[in-house]
Amino acid sequence: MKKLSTRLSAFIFLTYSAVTFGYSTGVSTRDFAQKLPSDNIIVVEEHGNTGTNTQWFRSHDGRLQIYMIDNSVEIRRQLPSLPGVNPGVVSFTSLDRLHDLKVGEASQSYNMRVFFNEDFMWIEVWPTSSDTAPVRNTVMFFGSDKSTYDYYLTNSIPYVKYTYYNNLKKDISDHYAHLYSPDFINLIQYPPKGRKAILSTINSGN
Amino acid sequence: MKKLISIITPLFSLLFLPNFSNAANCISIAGQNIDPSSIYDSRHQCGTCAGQAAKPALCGAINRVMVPYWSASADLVTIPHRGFWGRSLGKGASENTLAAAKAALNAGHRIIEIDAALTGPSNSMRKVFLGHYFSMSAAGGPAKTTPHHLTPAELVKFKMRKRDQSLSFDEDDHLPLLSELLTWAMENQVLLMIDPKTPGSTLAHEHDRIIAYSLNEARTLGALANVAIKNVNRHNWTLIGIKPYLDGPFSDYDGQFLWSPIVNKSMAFEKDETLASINSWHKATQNSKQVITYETSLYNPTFWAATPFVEQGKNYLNLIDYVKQLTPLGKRSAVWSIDPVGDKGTLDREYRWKFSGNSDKDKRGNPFRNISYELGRHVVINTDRPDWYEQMVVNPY
Repeated sequence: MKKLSTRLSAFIFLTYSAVTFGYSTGVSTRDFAQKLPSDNIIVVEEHGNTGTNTQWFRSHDGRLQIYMIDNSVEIRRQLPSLPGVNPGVVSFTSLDRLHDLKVGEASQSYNMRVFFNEDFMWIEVWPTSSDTAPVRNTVMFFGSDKSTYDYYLTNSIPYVKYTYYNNLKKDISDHYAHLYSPDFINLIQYPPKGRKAILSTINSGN
Repeated sequence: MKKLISIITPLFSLLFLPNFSNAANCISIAGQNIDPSSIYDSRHQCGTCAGQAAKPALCGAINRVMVPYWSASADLVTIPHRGFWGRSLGKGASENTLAAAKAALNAGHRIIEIDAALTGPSNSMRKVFLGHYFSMSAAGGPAKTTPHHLTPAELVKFKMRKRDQSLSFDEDDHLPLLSELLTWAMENQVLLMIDPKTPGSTLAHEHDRIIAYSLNEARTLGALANVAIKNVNRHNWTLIGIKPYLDGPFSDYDGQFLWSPIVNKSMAFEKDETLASINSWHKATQNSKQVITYETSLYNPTFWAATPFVEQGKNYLNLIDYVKQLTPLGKRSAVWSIDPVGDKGTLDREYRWKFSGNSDKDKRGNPFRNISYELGRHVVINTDRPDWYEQMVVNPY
């Protein structure tokens, strides 16, 4: 029993630590001047995005936009110009919510960092109020259209950084998925006695 | 003599033209009146006018796949992968469950892809269920137990986890036996595209058993018309493999269900091997009348399957075009879009999030690339996000 208790305590500590500090990619990013020839993914960070339905990012040409709609990430992208393809901008909504607003709760302000190229997009979102809150991630296997990607890749833009896609993928693969084990989820849904206070802290994002 | 020729010539030419006044041209699809026996094996439910009339919703859905609307600028058919699960926002149905099948039908999908594996414990008791050889942790069970440790009765007591990995308490999220889904599919005129999932090399002939047992259960229920089998092997190898496990002679099944051969499941499949596989399937299935789609992978814009090639003196735009030119009305390819259903990637067999992403070589997860290939707007897309594809194209129906 004592052994079980010790193991449970260790498990709770580890999962609590992991979730409290969340996950954000640890890859090094570079400014345009330091960009390596192999760098092939664009990094843009935006802070202090507020409001329930708001635009977080708009590319220079408007062909790629990132929104929060109903507390969920939404991508709006220009489609290729082809016969049979909808000529307008279409929306791709995430199936996950950043959080569910409780009755009377004010909308949350978020910071956002997006990595994208033509075939991939990885979005990190976290509450503006805390740098240690859980990062919520969205992965889309598609990215921007080619003209937008090329523009950001070849023009020096002050707030834009660069990194190497394969390093990003490896970092995500190595350090992200294990944070979301089924056992952890069960702990959130069905906390053992005495865990409620800690879980409330986690859920509030502090 | 001249008069005789003038009488015979038009009669002779009629043999080669569609006879629109013929009552056999009883289905209208892609702007054409068609005799079902020209596109189906006549033993299939949808292979006759009477069969079509008896199951109009089922046959209508399959007809659309069997006869693409090539003259339209797009005719993309989406098939929900593992049912319609994890949506809308929030938890939704769990994958590969009756709940996911019902959600797919409610969303307008009458053709649904499902994964199929075998329960345990002994060969005489094993049944086909929906799912993989995952850890039972995926269904809230013990992590070191897999489905083939459990009897069918034990297995169905577990409920598949939700997309966010939390436990489900919804009755329709239980691990279903194929027979349960088939019964539902019959009642609702739904086609199940069954994808056999094997545990690796530990169980010999598992792939063959899954196919054979699926067909046995469909035959017993009278549901062969509600089944299409996805298959990575060639037709002749498949028959050799499954015959020992069928309840009756293959002739009792032949032509009454559909196949969906997976013709180049990895980039290692080169052109000659892939085309030979397609040709063998075409020949063995009454010129593809028993095939609903050929599942093709183009991988990336420079891969051989995505680029023009010449085969036996004939030009093809890509592999989709090769499949198209198999039949007079044009056979349809299927494409698997590896888009992640969730925000954390995909779920692996242990039901943990598995992160992957498009690589330089394999870009199948990019819907924009998938619809940009030549003829890429006239395929079946097997996808976790049919909603993405449906808003991208303007379909004729």
